[in-house]
Amino acid sequence: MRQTAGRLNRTWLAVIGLVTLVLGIAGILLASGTAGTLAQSSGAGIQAPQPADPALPEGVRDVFAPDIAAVILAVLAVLVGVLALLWLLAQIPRRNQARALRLHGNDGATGYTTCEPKVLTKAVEEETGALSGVTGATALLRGSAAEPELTIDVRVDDRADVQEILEKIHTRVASNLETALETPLRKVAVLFNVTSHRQNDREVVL
Amino acid sequence: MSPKPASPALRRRSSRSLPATFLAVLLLLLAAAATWIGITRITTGAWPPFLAALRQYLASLAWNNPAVWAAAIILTLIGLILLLTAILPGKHNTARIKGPEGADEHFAETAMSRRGVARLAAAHVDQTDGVDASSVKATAKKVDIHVRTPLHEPGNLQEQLTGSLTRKLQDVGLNPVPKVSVRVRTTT
Repeated sequence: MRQTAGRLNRTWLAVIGLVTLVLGIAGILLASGTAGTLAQSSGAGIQAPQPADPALPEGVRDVFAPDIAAVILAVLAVLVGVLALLWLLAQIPRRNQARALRLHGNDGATGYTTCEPKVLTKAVEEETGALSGVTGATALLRGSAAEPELTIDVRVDDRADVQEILEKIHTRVASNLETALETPLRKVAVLFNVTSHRQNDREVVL
Repeated sequence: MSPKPASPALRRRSSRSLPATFLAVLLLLLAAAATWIGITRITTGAWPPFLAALRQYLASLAWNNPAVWAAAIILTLIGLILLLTAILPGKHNTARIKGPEGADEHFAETAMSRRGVARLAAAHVDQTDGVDASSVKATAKKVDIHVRTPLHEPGNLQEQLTGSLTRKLQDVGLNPVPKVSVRVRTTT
């Protein structure tokens, strides 16, 4: 029901994977000596290191000698660290619920009517929770007052009639919400989860 | 054309959250280590001592050293795995359920979580006469069930369970109906 970072993850996994793959293949080519043969046959005039050459270039020590090298290293490291932290935080699923819905009044002179989605979702949750076979529900309202979208996470017990509950949600719960908002819903998404405990486990209406 | 809905689809492919988290934590640790090394150099004027020993070891390696070979092969494999993880779609996270009659696809979306399908199947199987214990694994396309029965002759328990469970999943409205495979084992 919540939004995840699928596209972001796949993009960065692909980028890092590609870079690692290229480094690995370059290492294999250099270690086996094939890099030298390739460079010679391509005639580009590049001299590739031979397998017996040292892996670390000669000038590495000189590159890191001045003070500025440490500053650059620290700055780059902090940058990478911050990006990695943001990537980590993006893994948290987001609800992305709508902000306060403006129901009436595009003209400020006559006044506004606003409604928090929480008010509406609570009503939806209670109405859905009262249906037979449903042990609980969580609702999310996204979009705007003109184009609202409803997502309900319904927890049913394992003997519930799923199609009947779905029918009631669409005919009763969704249409009640449409009446309250005075607009047709743009999308109604229902996610079923099955719990092992039953509805009305503790009380019996006699 | 109507604008894209604000809600994400209920039925998505895996978001690859686990490998992403692992990589992000790794990058964070490396960045922290590099920051510490850089700050040590700036404040004390000398690189940390373990770096000198590391550099001397690396300088002694030639390209065809076994250690370099191993590192290159490992990097290639890791790169390939990451690339495949990013490109391959992965499993669906939910199973689609057919919506109410006459509802448009874009308007009504209904799904059940994979765990929900598994629990439903487990409850149905456990209530069947002759079943002692069961273990269920469910995806959007397949439901695998292992059943233990105390009966000496299970007879057609397997066909019976497969048939009744497929009917139950059809009644729930799963679309496509997952392929049910039941394996029966007698405990006596």
